[in-house]
Amino acid sequence: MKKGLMITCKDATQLVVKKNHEVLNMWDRMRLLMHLSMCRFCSLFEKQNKIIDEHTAKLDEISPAHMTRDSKEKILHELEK
Amino acid sequence: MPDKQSQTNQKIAQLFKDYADYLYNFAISRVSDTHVAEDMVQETFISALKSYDSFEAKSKESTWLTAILKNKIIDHYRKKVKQYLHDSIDRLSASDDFFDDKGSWYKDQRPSKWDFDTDKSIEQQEFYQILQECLTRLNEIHRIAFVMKHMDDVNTDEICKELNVTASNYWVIMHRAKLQLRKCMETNWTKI
Repeated sequence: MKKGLMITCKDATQLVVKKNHEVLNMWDRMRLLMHLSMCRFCSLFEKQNKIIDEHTAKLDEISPAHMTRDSKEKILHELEK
Repeated sequence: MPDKQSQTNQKIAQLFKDYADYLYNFAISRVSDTHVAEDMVQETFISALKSYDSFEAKSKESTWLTAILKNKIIDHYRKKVKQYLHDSIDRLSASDDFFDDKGSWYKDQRPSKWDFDTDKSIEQQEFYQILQECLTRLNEIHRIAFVMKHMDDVNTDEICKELNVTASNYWVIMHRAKLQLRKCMETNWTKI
C-alpha cells in the first residue's frame, strides 16, 4: 500500500474489507475517509459490501435452499433400514 | 410393543422431516456442492442415530444436529485445504482483474448503484437466494474464509490457522472474496 495520504481504489477496498474485521489505525481511517469522499465507486463498494455482510449473517435463518423430495425420500429410506 | 431401536429410528426419522431443509441449507452455504451437502445431511442423521442414546435433552435437538453437521463440515474443509498448494494462493487471490496497474477500477468492474429496497420482503427473499447462489460460485478457499468469518463468526487467527495461511494472505483472500461476491450480486440482481 502506498505511504501517502492518497490511496488507490485497490487499497481503499482492501481497507473497507479490513474495517469489517478490526478497528483501523488513525492513519488508515483518515486515508480511507479521504478516498471515499472522492470516489463514488469505492463508496458504492463500501455500502454494498455492508449489505452483503448483513444478509450473509442471516442466511442460515432464512434458509432459501431446499433439498429435493427424491433426495429426502432416499435418505429417509436409509435411516429407516 | 415396538422395541427401543425402532423407537429411536422413528424419532430420528421425525427429526429428519423437521430439520432436513434447515441442515441442508446450512451445509449448502458452506460446501456449495448439492451432492456433498446431501451426503453430509445423511451422515449427520446416521451419526445422530448411533449416538441418540447419549443425547440428553439438555440441548435443543436442532442445536445437537447442527453441532454434528458442523464437525462434518470442518473435516471437509480440512481435506479441501490440504488439496490446495499454498503457493498458489497469491495467484488465485490476485485482484488484478478488478483493478488496473495503477490500482483504479477497470471500467467494466466499477460498482454501479443498486436499486434495492431492503424493506421489501419479496426483494429480500430474492436477494438471499442470489446471495447463496453467488456464494457457491466462489472459489473454495475464498468461500470457506468468507463463510467462517461472516456466518460462523470465527476470529481471524483461527481462520488463518484452519486454512494454513498467513495474515497477509488472509486479507488478500478476503478482499478477493468480497470483490467477486459483490460483482456476482450486481450481475445477477440489479440487472434482472
